[in-house]
Amino acid sequence: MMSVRNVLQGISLLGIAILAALSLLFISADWLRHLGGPLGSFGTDLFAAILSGGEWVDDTVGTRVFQHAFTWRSVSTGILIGIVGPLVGTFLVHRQMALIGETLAHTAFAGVAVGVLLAGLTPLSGSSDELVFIALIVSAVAALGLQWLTAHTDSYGDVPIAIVLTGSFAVGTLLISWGRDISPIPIEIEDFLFGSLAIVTPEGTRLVAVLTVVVVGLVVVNYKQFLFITFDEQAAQVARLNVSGYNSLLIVMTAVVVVGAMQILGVILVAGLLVIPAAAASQLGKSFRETLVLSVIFGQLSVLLGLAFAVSVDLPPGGAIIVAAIIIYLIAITVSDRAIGQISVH
Amino acid sequence: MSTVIDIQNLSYSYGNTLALEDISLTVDEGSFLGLIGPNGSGKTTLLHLMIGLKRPDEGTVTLFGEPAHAFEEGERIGYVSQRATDRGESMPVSVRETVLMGRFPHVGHRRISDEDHVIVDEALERVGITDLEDRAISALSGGQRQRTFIARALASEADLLALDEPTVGVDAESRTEFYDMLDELNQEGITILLIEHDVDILTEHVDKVACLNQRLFHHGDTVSFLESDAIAEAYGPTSRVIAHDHP
Amino acid sequence: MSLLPLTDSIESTYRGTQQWLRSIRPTIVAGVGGTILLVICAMNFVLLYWLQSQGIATETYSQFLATGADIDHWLGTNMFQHPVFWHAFSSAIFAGCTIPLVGTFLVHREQALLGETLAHTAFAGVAVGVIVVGMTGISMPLELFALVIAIAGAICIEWFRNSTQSYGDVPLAIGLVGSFAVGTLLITYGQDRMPLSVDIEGYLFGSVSVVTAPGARLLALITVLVFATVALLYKQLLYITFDTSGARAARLPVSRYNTMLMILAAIVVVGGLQLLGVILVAGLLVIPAATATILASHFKQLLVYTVLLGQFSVVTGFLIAHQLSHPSGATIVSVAIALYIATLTISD
Repeated sequence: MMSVRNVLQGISLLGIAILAALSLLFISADWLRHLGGPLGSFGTDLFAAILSGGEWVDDTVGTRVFQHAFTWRSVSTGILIGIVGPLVGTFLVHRQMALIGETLAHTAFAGVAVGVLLAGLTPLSGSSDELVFIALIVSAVAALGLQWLTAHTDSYGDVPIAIVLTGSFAVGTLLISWGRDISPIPIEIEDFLFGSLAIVTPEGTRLVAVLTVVVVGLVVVNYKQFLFITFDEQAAQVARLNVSGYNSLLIVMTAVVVVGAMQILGVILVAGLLVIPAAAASQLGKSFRETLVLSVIFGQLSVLLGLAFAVSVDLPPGGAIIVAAIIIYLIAITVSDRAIGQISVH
Repeated sequence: MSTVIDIQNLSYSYGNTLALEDISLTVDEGSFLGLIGPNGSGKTTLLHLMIGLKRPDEGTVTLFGEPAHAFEEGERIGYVSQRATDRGESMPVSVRETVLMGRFPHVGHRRISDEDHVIVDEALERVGITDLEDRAISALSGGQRQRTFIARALASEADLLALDEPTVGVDAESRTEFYDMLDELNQEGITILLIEHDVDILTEHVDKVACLNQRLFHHGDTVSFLESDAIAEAYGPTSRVIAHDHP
Repeated sequence: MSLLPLTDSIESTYRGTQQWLRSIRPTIVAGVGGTILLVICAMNFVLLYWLQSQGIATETYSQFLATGADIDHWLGTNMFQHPVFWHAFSSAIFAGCTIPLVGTFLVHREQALLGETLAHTAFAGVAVGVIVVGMTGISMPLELFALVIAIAGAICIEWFRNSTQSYGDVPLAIGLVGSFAVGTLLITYGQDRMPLSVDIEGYLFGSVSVVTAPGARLLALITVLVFATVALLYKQLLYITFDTSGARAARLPVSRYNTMLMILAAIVVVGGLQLLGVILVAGLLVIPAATATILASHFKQLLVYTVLLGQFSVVTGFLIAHQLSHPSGATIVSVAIALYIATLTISD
């Protein structure tokens, strides 16, 4: 029984690894082809090869999507955030910081608003990848500020979160309302709120690729430390781990992932990809490593199913991905032997 | 015999509330010290100060010859907190993973080696939970869970164990077994600090007692503690501690 | 529960704060008077407008607006004479005292983010309403759907919290994103297929202009309901908030009061939806209560300060938004946060 389970997980992980490698290959080809020289021509060839591969898939399956570069861009962005979102989210959920992603997404919204305003006041163009970049900075700074606030005010943990969440959204709204008058660009705020495949630009995709590599690398290198502070922060402190350092790293990683995923999922739903697959995996995992693996598998499934559904019936991808994740979560609860019935007494 | 912990004139307060006042005591290598006192007497605070989780307002705490908060060799301290088991309720972590955490301070960023796994195997064996290693912590009984945390301390090759009410919610039989195991470990030379609300059990196992309620009312060996009226003083005149019937 | 202002705060800060509070006592009394006056005014208008629409007391109604015109004349403004302004303004006044009042209990039950989740559930309710109204053609206020779905959501979250072993914030997070996801899917689906235009941005960001007469009437009812409930069950609510296990030991039906509190939260959230928008309505629920917690030294005081701070934020924010035509939710929450930061600085 255990071995069947392990084999299934192994196969799924292999599949995800192949998808991720393909995505990264496409994104690098897309990037290289704009460079000159031999690398540039190599990129152009590779890019063409991938698209003709897509055409072959289209012919075989009878679809008309894989031959287009923008499909590849959005799908590879989806695949990559389907890996990093749940990866970071699993640590957050068990640190009882499930709503931190939600908060950072709203600060990222304020970041987008700052970008819109800057586009009006400075020579910045206000293209969506510039906005995403500014959102990244604002959100990372806010992440550290939030951690400081939680550590230095003695209120319950959720009060600073609620205040930063609503506060940054309020500021963002005011800035946009003001910026709309002075900014030359017609900014589609709804795209950032609900998520859209239309705002996935080559630059945005590249950003997601870079952050995926960095975040996965950081988690692999610091896995033991993250696990220890997540499971037993006090014991980690006794063991003289740099607890606040790793906390800062985790929260900044979250900010980065949130901004990357925001393009497809939108401000409000991005936190769902962090929390829901992790919660589903926690219902089934027997060890933490297994939980982490399962959360990535569930996250990837949600993204792929959601994207397929959204593209086929023309609905927003964010909503579809989250609904897929919740269906998986509900199945996990039903299958799980340990969920319901255990009344927690606090 | 060398000194593991040396506390001189320590005071500590939370805001304006004085938690500990002018406490001095030493813990020798290989001793088994019990901390007792009524609720809110500052036992946990003192334990945290001893292992350097907090810094004293006044006075000094020395741990293995260094100021406790600046002591860097975390692998030498095994700590089981009161709340250590709470997280295990909902976070899926296996027994083996928990015990492996004891190796993390040694391992740092390198990979976990076969040698580390051997040490973990020994620790699991030592506390008798080898057959539970793949189980999730949430699927263990209270006693098994506490054994896991002791195994973690063993795996870190700690020479100091700090335990904060480790047997809350553990049935009487497992509790006895647990304390017998602590006795064995102590005889092998591990220094143990223990907070336990049950005075009977505590005095049965420890060789030194520190009885406190903000101030230190008694610090010395167990026999002299039982003969003194420190407990009545510490718990106050309205104390409802049941008298001992130990020899 | 050491953060409830019932227990020890650091002595010197405490004394300083007390002194400062004594010195502003006249201001507080004036604030309470002003709030009561505003609520009476708003209640009056809503009642008169309703009577007038039934063909009764039309004269008193015109007198009311004439007085408004007089006030406009004195102040050099152009708002108090318009019924449209009064719909929105009285809604703001109602929201300003009820939402923070319920929020106080939530904040001290460590459920500060519950409001955020319920607001998103209410958004899903609006979406359901759009679909149902679009398909059946029956004209029903969308707020009604929001109310029903938000209350159902509140009950679900409470059930979920009791019957799964996950941390308290996981059900909240899942409820929040889940209902918003369903809401966006439904609305997008509905927009393409039904001849119905909904001002989605209005619901998301809050807007002065979407407040209608039935909306104001609904809020008036909610205000009466909330104040009556809190007055009637003050002791019980205080007990379960301060010491849940104590209340359980005293054989209070804790889970029933819990559910009731969550339903109250759902009701006020839906009430504040038009004015503040889905994302910001939780801010009014939490921020005035957090500010008042820094200042107050006992629970009744806490409730009074919360309502005053809430009312001040809403009225100021509303008037600014009205004058500069900014989204009302954002200005109100910004004012509330400015007060919070100011209080934090002063109390240090």
